[in-house]
This record gives sequence, structure tokens and C-alpha cells, in this order.
Amino acid sequence: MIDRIKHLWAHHRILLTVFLAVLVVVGFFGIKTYSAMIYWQDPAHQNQEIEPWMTPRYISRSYRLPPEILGPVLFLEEDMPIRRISIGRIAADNNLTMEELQTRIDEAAAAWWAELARNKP
Amino acid sequence: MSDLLLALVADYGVPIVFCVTFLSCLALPVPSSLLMLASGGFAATGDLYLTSVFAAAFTGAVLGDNMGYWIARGLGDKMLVWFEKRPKRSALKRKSEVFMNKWGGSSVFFSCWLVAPLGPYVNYVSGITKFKWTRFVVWGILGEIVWVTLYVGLGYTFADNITSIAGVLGNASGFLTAIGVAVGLGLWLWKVSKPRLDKRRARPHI
Repeated sequence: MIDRIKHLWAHHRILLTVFLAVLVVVGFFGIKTYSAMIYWQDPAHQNQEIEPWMTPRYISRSYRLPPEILGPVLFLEEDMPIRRISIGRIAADNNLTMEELQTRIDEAAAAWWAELARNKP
Repeated sequence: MSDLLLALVADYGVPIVFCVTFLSCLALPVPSSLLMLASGGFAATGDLYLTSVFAAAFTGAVLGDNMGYWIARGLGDKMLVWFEKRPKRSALKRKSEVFMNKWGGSSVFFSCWLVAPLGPYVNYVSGITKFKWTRFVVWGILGEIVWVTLYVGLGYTFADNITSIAGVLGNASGFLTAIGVAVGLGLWLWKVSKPRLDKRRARPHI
């Protein structure tokens, strides 16, 4: 084995270095994949933070909020618009930052879950 | 970039999915995997139709693959003189042709989905080495069916948390690709380091 490495170092130094670099990359992505899986499985991260590309229906599903609750929070006249609209656009149309919109959604979600808990016998 | 493209999907729908998978097959740095996951998610919530997401992503990918193949094939013809100028270059080209003849089908198939970051380059190599087009198309179509079904399907299934699943898949894809490169390069290095070893071992017997 050592003979082989010596031979490679003498004749194919660049490729041997590339090979070692690739091994480092394998380790890097291995660790990142593992930590991403841990993050995904963690119940604390079930409600993903809103991002401008999301649609009202998407938020409704991710936060398990019924359309009639979410509609007013996102300033929608109907419960769910027929055409798609990104919430980035909703925020811009209503002069809100994404953080302010996030707060509105979080508050509505908390109120909804509290009400559900109260109504449970 | 990702956020902008995803917002475009939310606003304009499947034509954006088509454009992005097309461009990603030409090695342009567009977040096609994330976009397919999100489109699958949009299909699950009712913002898009699952069949049109699938059709757009698949058509874009197959057309992109073939565009890459034919560009490289045209370039390969023009670069013939350049390849023949140096013995090392022409040897590399011949070796690639032998490799593609033997392993071309599976290379095209797996580079579509399992080691997707290598996909565009396999398309280019296929074109330059004049890999048989019918084989390229058949394996490419099968590979893209797997790629699109996998990503759109996962997006559809895990629609409530696209960001997390995208993180897992993005890293897993990098991990598998790096392993693929490491195994390929490792086997080659192992092979070229052998003769010297044999000579050394053989010496005492002389």
C-alpha cells in the first residue's frame, strides 16, 4: 500500500491530491447530509419559516391553518385565491416586511391552536 | 437566485419549471432540484397540476440533455484538429470513446439522477465522443423519468416542509456524487500504481 502511494506521489501527484480532496468533500457532504436529516426530523422545525416564494395554499398546508383563518391574515378577499400568488408579492402589496407577515401568521396560528385546544372536551 | 426562481414559479407556474430543468441540463447553475421539490409541493396544495409539473420538468430535462449532446457533437467535429495535435489529447479522446462504448448507457442513466451534478458533463462527453444518439436518448429518457418522479414525488409527499427536504437532498446528492468521483478516481489510481509494485515483488525471484 505504501509502495503504491509512493509511486502515485512520484508519478501522479496532482491526481492523488485531487483524490484526497475528493475524500474531504465526501466527508463534508456526509456530515452536512446527516445534520440536514437531524434538522428535518426535529419536530421544532415542522413549521418552516415563511419565504417570499410560498403561496397562501402552501402556508395553509405547512402551518395546518384552514383557509378561512389564513385568508384574512394574508389580506385575501376570498379564502383562497383562484390564481397563484406569492406571499412576497402579498407583503409588497400591503407594505409589510416578511418578518411582519411572519408575525401575523404566527399569531394567527397560535390563536387557532389555542382555540382548538379549548374546544376539545 | 433560488428565491427569485421559486417566486416566479408561484407567479407564472410550470413554464418556469420547464426553463429551469432545460438550463440545468446544460450545466447552468440553476437550482433545478429545489424547484422541482417546490413544484411538487405546489401540486400537493393545489396551486399547480401534478401532471403538468411532471410534463414540464421532464420535457425541459430531455430537451436540455439533447441540446447539450448536439452542441458538444458539433464542437467535437470542429475540435478534431485540436484533439489530434497532441498525442495525449487524442489518446484521452480515444479512451473516452472506448469507455462510452462500454459504459455509456449506464453513465447517461445514472448521471441523470443518482449523480445529477455530473449530468450535463456526461451529455457533453457523449456528444464529443459521438456516443450513439439513439442509446443516449433512450437512457436519457429513462434517467430523467427517475429524476423527475423522485424530486417532484418527494416534494408532493413532504409538501409541508420543502426547505428541510431540499437541504437533505441537496447534500445527499453532493455526497453521492463525491463518492462516485472518489470510487472512479480511486480505482484508476489503484490500477496505475500496480505495475511498479509487481516489478518490485518480482525482483527477488530473478
